[in-house]
Order: sequence, then structure tokens, then C-alpha cells
Amino acid sequence: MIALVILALLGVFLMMSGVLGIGRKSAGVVATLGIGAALLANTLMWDKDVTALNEMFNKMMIVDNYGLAMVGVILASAFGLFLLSDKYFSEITNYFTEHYALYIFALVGMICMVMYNNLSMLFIGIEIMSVSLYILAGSNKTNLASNEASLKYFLMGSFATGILLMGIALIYGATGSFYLSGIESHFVDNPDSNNIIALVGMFLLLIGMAFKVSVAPFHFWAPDVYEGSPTFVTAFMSTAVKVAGFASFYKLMYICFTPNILYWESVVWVMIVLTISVGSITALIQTGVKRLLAYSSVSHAGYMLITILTANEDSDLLFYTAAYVIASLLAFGVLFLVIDAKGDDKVESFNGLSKSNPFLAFSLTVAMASMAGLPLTAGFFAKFYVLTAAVKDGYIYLVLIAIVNAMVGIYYYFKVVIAMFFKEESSETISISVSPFYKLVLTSGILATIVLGVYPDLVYNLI
Amino acid sequence: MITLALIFFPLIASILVFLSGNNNAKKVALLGGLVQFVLSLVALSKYQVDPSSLAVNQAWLTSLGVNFTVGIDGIGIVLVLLTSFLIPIIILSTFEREFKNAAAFYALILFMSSALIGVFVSYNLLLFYIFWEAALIPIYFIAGYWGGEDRVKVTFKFFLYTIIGSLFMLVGIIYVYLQARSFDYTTLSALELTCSQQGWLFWAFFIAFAIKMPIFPFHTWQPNTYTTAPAAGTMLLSGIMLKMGIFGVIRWLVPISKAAFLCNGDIVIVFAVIGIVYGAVLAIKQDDIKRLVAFSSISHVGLIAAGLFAANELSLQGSVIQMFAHGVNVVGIFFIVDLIERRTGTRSIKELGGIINQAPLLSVFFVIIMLGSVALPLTNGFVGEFLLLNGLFQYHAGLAAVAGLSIILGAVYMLKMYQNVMLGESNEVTSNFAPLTLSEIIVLTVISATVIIMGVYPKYFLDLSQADIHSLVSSHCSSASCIK
Repeated sequence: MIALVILALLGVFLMMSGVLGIGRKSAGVVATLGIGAALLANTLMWDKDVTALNEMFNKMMIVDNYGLAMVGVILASAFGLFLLSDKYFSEITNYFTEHYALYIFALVGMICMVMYNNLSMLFIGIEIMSVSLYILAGSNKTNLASNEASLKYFLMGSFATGILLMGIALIYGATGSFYLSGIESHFVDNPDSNNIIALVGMFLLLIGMAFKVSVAPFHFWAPDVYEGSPTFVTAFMSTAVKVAGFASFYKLMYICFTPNILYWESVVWVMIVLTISVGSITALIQTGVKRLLAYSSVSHAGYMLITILTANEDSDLLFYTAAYVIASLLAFGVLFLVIDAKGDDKVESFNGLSKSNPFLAFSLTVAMASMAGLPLTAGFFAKFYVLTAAVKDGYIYLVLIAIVNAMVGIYYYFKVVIAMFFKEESSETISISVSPFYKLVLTSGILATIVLGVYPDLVYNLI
Repeated sequence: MITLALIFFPLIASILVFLSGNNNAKKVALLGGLVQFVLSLVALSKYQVDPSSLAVNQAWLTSLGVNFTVGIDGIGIVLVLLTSFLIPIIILSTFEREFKNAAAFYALILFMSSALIGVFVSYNLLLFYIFWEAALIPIYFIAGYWGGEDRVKVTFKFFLYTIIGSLFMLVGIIYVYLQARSFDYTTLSALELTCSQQGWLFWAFFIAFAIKMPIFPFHTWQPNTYTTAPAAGTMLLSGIMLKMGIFGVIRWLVPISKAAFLCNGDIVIVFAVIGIVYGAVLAIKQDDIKRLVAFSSISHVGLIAAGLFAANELSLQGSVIQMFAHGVNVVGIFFIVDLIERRTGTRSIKELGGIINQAPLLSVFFVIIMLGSVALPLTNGFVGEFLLLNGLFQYHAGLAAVAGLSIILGAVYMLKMYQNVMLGESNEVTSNFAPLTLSEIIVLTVISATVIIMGVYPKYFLDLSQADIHSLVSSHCSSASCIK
């Protein structure tokens, strides 16, 4: 909660600081430190008695360890990204303070989304986040693709928001409550109720959330938006935004709709299969790494969706998001530099990277191995926990399909690794200069991936 | 503790090698390999005093109730010895070659050795799987980065093939975990499953192991990978890595799918025997000597697999000792192939000939190792193949007769290769054949000595694993049990 206050104030301050004529460097430092402070404040709340705090806003928001852990992942990923952001922000010549402010506001929205206890709070959180993202997606104003991304995202996003809002309204009509506990107790009290309004409301909510987290068949916006947006925005969307979306989606389904899981079980089952398959099969034929990561993020969304179906271990989702976020940070960290040096993100641009820049090649290899789920990386245990929970609940076929897609996944992730290690660079070698600080951030990402791959309990046992 | 040292020492050594720079890497790596060998001898001496002193049990993943459980039994010790014996030999065998990024090359070899030891000492299924997969990553880079023509395509096929097999196994592992609520070896071997459960588990595990060995018809990645990988990579693959599959069958497949293991034995043995003949016939037709040895390896492994699934004490005893013997022999032969290729620039039988005139010493070593490979009495190959065929004969006489062809066909392709490569008139390719260097002589002497010592006095090696094989057979293979 204090994190929320810090970020909100920080956002307002940064927005105004343009008027005060603050320099870009100092704005960047303030924003990064601010996120760091929010992360710290968030961590300090861990395991504290927060009943008084929770009462403060009529329980519109609830601070609990689940929320704190998820917000921790979000803030940590944003913090990590900002540490790698110097290049990106230095190319923005105008209105840079507003850029910083938009990211901070998006984070504010995400915290609301994760900690919500009331559907109106969820809606407000999603809106705060989305509006910032619509602008950021189009922030490369002179680039046609960026404009397209922004418009597409905006249109699709507002449709989704509309559907979501309709769902909230119907649920309120049927259950008489915006509160998660109120909705839950309605369904618990009427287990056999086939109240059509409530069910339609529930499915509209499901669809609205599925849009936001790019789950098939509502994923069509994602690849174009991811590709068109500035790479930094893409990284932000596929890490922090994705985690926030899933954290709130999970909470919604887990708390409110577990009593009538029979109604949506098969729907979500189909969604998972579609998401994983569409994501990984389409990723197979991509030639650009950015787009490949976009589809892979769709595929990962499918795995995260499994946690909603099994819905008994919060830790599964927490660990999956943590592993995925770290791997994404590493991958995008390298991608930023390669795009900057080679001018495009084709797989061929990575040819011979192991010679010109072994460190970057190694970082990206660790990231790809983790995303593919190879042992000794965090990604292995992420998939392992999720799939174990699914088998435990009897979803054998789902697990088999997921495993087949994991095989496909190895193929496309290793396409990049092959390019880096086994292929020669066509033109002359461009050595990419990496600042020691940047190296430090990537090294900590590598270490985190491997440590979690050897000793996952560090994160898994948190909640 | 010594078990942990065996796993983690090569890991630390691999980091040191990586940091030591390209010029010193091979020496540091050799040193590391030798220390590792000494460690394994210490483990051997401890094993002979008290095997249980090698067991380690540490809490690891509390969320799943998984412990870090390792230990060494009579079968494990043979493979641990094989690994730590071959790794320094493989490192020494590369001394005449210069590799780009040598530090990374040798670091990967040591890293792989760590993972291989891990596979052979794990008494926890999840731990086993992690080491199993971890062993794949270094060999993938070794074969892909330092390999020959077409390496990218070939190694990628190998990589995908084995990983797909492993993922089937992963499904099996998750399933068996949910039945037993444990990954622990003792719990799993006491687990009672229904026949159909055992059947499914059998195939899930078997595919992973069969691809690794490889058993016909899962072998299609093997000839190309062996041929394109650098010599050291081929030695790692054929000398040690394929034993992972055989070992996996003994350690995990037998206790988990007891009844299914016995009743599916027929099918597997038939395929294994087909593989024996198929590999041998194709080996006869090869012109490329490296490819010839690759096919011969399919044939030899087919026999080991057939013995494995015949599941009697003799055949299992044979397959364990043959794992060691085959590992040593195949490394020796691949090394000879490599040194011929390095000197003449070709591996084609047609172009070679008459090397004996220039390098008589080489031809002596070649004969010894070759005879070991064709299982002449008093060589190490004979002990294993004799036990295997004997055990297989008890299982089914007809199959044993067909499998016995392997010895005849093996003699055909090996002698044909030897005759065409070493004997005859020297030609312009082989007339400038340089004499053996010191490191080559050391490698070949060690290997030839092992071939003869094991052949003359196999009792020591057989005694190592005898007790554990006996208890394995009497507890799992003598009677089929599953819940109807």
C-alpha cells in the first residue's frame, strides 16, 4: 500500500518535473530509485499485520502475502527493466518526463489490479494501466508500426474493457456485490444455481481478462502490438503487464468462481490448449526475434493459465511468473543491444554473436533455456510445478499437449542459440559494447535463473 | 561426502578450466580429469569397505518432499569408474588437436562429466532427470560448435530427438510421483501399480532410454551425429553417454515397471536383435571408417540391450561388464580413426592403405583394440559378449543364435577395415604417415592394457556388481507382479 502511494506521488512528480526543467538523466535516476523504494516498501510489508490497513479503504484493496509477492515480481521486473533502460530513454528527446510518468502510472494500475478486493477496483486498475500502455505503444510517433500497434491495442483493449465492465455489471446484478468475498459466498450458497445472468457475467469477465493477458482465441492483438511497439515497451508488456494480468485473473477465478468450476473448466481447458499450441506453432515460423518472443509469451500465457485451472497452489503461478520474468528480462536485455547495433531483430542478426560477444550470447542462451524449460534453469521447475499440479488434478491429456508444445518450443528457442553459436556472421563483426553496469544486471539475471533452477524453494516456499 | 565430491569436483574444475584461458585449458582439464579419476578410486576403495558410506541424503525441495539422495551401488560404481577413467583419456586424446575457444571446449567436457556422474549416482528420480538433461547440453554444444560438415543440422536433430524422448520420460516421472508421492528409489521400487499403469510407464521411460542407447528403430540420429561430432564428442557420446540409457533401464525401468518390463521384453529384444544385424550389415557397407564404427556401435549396443531385457543374472552381469568394455574399446577405435584422419585428411577406406609400413606401433594397438571389439577370448569384449549371449540363450535360443551373428559380422567389418586401412601397399595418402606422438602412445597403451587386463582377469570387475545384480534379479525379475 505504501508502495502504491510512493509510485502515485512519483508519477505526479515526474509529470510535473518537465516544467521544472529536470534533466533526462536525473529523471531516470529518480524514476528508477522510486521503483526501487516502492519495491523495498512492498517487501517490508511482508508477513506484517495489515488488518488496520485493509479496513482503511472499505476493503477495496487487500494486502496479503499473495498480493505482496506478485507486486514484488512486478516491481522487480520493472526495476530490472529500468536499470537496462538508459539507451532507450536517451533516444527520446521530447517530453521524456512524461514517458517516465506513464510507466510509473502503469505500475500504479498494476498494483491496484493485483491487490483489488472489489471488482470496481479491478476495473480502475486495469484502466489506469491500459491507458498508459496505449500511449506508450505508440510512443515512437514517427514509426508507422508503432502507430498501428497503439491503435490496434487501443481498439482491442477498449473492447475488452467494455466486455469486462459488462461482466462486472451482470455479476453485480446477479450477486448483489462487487466484493470478491460477496460474489464467492453467493456462489457457495447457491451451488446449483444456473442463474443465467451470473453465468453470462462470469464468461464476460473471463473473456475480458483473457483479452488482457492475450490468451487464445483472444490473442490476435498481441503479436502486432508487441512487434510494433518500441522494444522497451514490448519488454514492459511481456513482463510486468503480463504478471499483473495473471495475478488478477488468477485471484478472480480462484476466489469467485471456484464453486462453479464445472461451468468454465472445459472452456479454460480449450483456451489453454489453443494458447499453448497457437503460441508455439506460430512462433516456429517467425523470422524476427521480437515477434518470436511475442508468440512465445502467448505460449507461456497458456502455461500460466493452467494454474488457474488447477487453482490450488498460489506458489505455482508465483514461481512461473518469476521464472518467466527473469528469462524475459535477460532476453530483452540482449535484444535491446542487438537491435541497437544491427538495426533489426532478425534471427540472422544474432549470427556469430558468441564470437563477437560471448557474454551476451551466454545470457541469451540461459534465457532461452529457461523459457524452453531445460533443467538447471528456473524455467524447468516452473513448468514442472505447473504440470505436476495438472496431472494431480487429472488433466493428463492437457499435460501431454503441453509437453508436445514444450518440444516444439525447444525448436524455436534454440533457433536463436544455433544462430549465435553455430553460424558465422555474414558481414564484418560488430562488437557490441556493454557497460559494466549492464553486465552486472544481466549477470544477476543469469545467477537468479540458475539458483532458482537448482533451489526453487527460495521463491516457491514464499507463499 | 566422496560421492558429492565426484559430482561437484568436475563442475568446479570446469569453471577453473574456463577461467584458465585457451592456452592452458587442456593441461588444467587433464589435471582435473586425473584428480577426478583418483577421487573415483577413493570411492572404489570405500565402496569395497562399506557401500552405504557413499550414500548422501540431504533435504532439497521441501515443497515436493524431494531429497538430494545419491549413493553408489555395484552397478553405479562400474559406470562411475568408466566415466572418470575415460574423461582424462578423452581429454588427453585431444592434445594433438588445436580447438578454437579451447577453454570452453574443455570446460564443457568436465561439465558433462559432472552431469554423467550425477546420473549414475542419483537415487532420486527427479535428480536423475535433471542430471540426465544436464548431460545433454554440453554435448550439444561440443558437437554443434566443434563438429564437422553439416553439424548444425545433424546436432539439432540429435538434440531434438533426445529431448523429445526425455520429455516422455518426464510425463512418466510426474505420473509415478503422483502415485507414490515420492521420487525416492526405495519408495518407487516398492510401489505397486496396475498392469496398465506399468505398461504406460514402461513405454514412457523406455522411449527416452531407447533413444539414448540407441535401440533400433530409434537410432536414426546416431550415425550422422557420431560422424559429424568432433572425435572427443563422439567418444563422449559412444563411450559414456549411451550407457546412461542402459543404466537408466537397470536403475529405474526395472523397479518401476516390474511386470511390464518382463512382458514387454520380447518386443524389445526382437528390435534389439534386429538392430544387431542391421548395424553390422550396414557397417560392412561403409566406406567412411568413422561411420563404420558408428554402425558397429549400434550392433554392439543392440546386444547389450537384448541382454538387459532377457533379465536373467547372466545377461545382466554381461551387460554391466560389457558397458565398461564397450566404452573403453569404442573410445580406442574412435581415437585411432581420429589420428588417421588427422594425418591423412581422409576417413575413406578406399583411399587409405598400408599404414602398417609407416606406423607399426599403431597397428599393434589397433589389433589389440580391434580384437577386444570383435570379442576374441582373453580380451575384454569376450567376457561381456559371452555372458550376454549365454544369458540370451537361456531366454530364447533362436534369438541368441541370430544375436550371435554379431560376433561373426563384427569380425567381418572390423577385419575388413583393418585390412584395407593398415595392410597392403602404402599409397600417396598414407606414405607420409607421421609416427605416434607421446600423448597418443599413452592413450593407446592405457586402452590396450585395459582391454587385455579385463580380458584376462574379469573376475574383479564381475565381483563389483555381482551382489547387486543378484538382488535386482531376485527381487524384480524372477516373478512378475502387478495389481490386476
